[in-house]
Amino acid sequence: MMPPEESLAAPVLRTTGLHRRYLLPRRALFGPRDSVHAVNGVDIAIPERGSLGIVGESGCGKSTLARLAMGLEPPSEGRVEIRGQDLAQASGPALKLLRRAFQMVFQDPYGSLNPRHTVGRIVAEPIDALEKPADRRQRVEEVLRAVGMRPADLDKYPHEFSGGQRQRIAIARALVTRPALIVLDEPVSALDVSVQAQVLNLLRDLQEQYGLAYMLISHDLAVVDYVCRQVAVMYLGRIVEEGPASLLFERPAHPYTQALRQAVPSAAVANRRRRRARLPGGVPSQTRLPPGCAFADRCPIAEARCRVEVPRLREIGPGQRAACHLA
Amino acid sequence: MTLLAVEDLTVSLPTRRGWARAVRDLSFALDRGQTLGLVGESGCGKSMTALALMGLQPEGARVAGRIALDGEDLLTLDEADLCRIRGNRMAMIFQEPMTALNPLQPIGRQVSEPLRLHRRVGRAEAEREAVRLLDRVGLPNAAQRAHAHPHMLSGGQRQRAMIAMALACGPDLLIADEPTTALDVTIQGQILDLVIELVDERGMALILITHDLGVIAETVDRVIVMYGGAGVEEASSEALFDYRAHPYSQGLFAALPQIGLARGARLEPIPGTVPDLADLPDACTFVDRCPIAAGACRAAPPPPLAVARGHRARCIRLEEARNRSIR
Repeated sequence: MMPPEESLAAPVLRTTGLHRRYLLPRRALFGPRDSVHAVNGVDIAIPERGSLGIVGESGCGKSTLARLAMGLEPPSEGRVEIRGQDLAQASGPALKLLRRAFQMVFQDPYGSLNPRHTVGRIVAEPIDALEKPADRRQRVEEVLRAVGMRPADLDKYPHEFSGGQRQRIAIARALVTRPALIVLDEPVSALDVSVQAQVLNLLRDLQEQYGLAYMLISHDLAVVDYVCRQVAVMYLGRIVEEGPASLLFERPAHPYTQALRQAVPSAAVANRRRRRARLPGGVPSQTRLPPGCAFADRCPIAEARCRVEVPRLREIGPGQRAACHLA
Repeated sequence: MTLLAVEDLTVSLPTRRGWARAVRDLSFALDRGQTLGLVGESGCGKSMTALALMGLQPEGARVAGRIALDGEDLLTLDEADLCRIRGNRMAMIFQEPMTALNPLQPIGRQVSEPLRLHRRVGRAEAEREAVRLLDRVGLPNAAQRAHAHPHMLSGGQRQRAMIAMALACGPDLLIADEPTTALDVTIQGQILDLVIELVDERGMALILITHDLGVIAETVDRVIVMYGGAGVEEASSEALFDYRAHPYSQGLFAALPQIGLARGARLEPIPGTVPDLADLPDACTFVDRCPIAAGACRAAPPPPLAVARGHRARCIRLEEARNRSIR
């Protein structure tokens, strides 16, 4: 996951052996409690100015991974490091300082902005919580301009803006602490195509301009391909394939990535008779994980070995790694 | 004889600022076995068109024009007559099966309901037919699953159950409103394949409503692109994906991220935002965002002009649009 030239400095985000389980209620009074394995041993590293896209279907653990990376909930096992500092060890004032370095943008531009606060207050919120600087107003105006809004919008309320503009406000709020990393959880999936393109271009420009690193969670492969250099594909809480976006989408090695890539209907050329190999079934339960490869039941090429032995991520090409015995 | 002929369909909704025309002068015709896509962004009128066809427009809405099913104008029928046709000769599937299905009834019962209602089939016979239908739409263990309640099924399975319900009386026309938008991409493929198979097998006509150009490309023969309630361009899918004549269609495609878009290539967003229907001028609905709009575009709604055989666009500046260099 780390390009060699950038591997010397500590990555802005690194997770090691990350697990997250949720306990379910007991089914019987003295019965055992089942647990949902949302994230199941994930190692990622995002260098400064790097961009990693996390793709996968619902229930693959991508949003849980984002929440763990943001320290919004603790991992069951493993660690999250921001610029080399263990998030679990940092507490109080140290965590506050570290907080500046990483910010988040959520999917829902309607639910993530307080409707009773002005745009100015919303955008200033992270710095108000962290430092209360003297140049507060200039900084808010600067980031509003950076996302293509006017300083005059400062005194307005969220309902006065469209979905795309609200997402710009959420991005401005993330930018205001001058972070090194922004975690974006489905940042454009609530937006219409014509507006989505505005926000995607903005994300690209801001990365360049501010030297940001991104972790972008999306179910949309094309969105990830547009914004991110690196991609990790998740299935049932594990990374099944990772590598540079160009390679991974052109020559997917894992059968799941191949199926995902194939399933995306292409708008390049119309062809109603284009039939494709479809994956059978749906994503299996996260409560009882199968013993071998989690994908084996839906995999078109699974062998006996796949049902007993968990495949490890291994190098299969330059910078490309897949967790498949047969890749 | 044409199965469905829609002429100058206009749907107006009451708002505090007066009547908002959600659908404006929409005309099209459809034969048995033909598939038509309505594509556009939120608020373009595509779903309202579907509801009006089914006679399910919101209370207080005004519907004008003509909707002829086998020559019979549905707009002249009373509710009792419409009930005879709905679910029988024309059926609809919705985006979110969880809200469209009754949570308190087993799905077998719900699938058999149209048969009991429209065909006066006895309960036992109708439920046997429901199992056959559920089996046909690919629900595993249909005989047992017929007793399941909707919450016990996955999203994809619920959508299959809703399709079975729509098929029960062998409708001539199936209307599918964003049938796969709530589903994961691998499941979306399975459902689209099923819909197409059924359309081919039964010789139904299909109207598919979606915001997803990829889904259009792989599912339907003809397309109407809608904007601000108007059908701005109509063509065969092949022709449209080959050449877009209307500046909005051009902009929509240029704004769409696609996997493998040349590195460094930039999306071209449409400036501004999707407008409020009540704010649209009584002229070309796209005029405020159109890069090549001229004075005449504001004077009157543009008539449909021929681009090629079977390809029309409502734009009076087709020559200028042709000379734009746009992806």
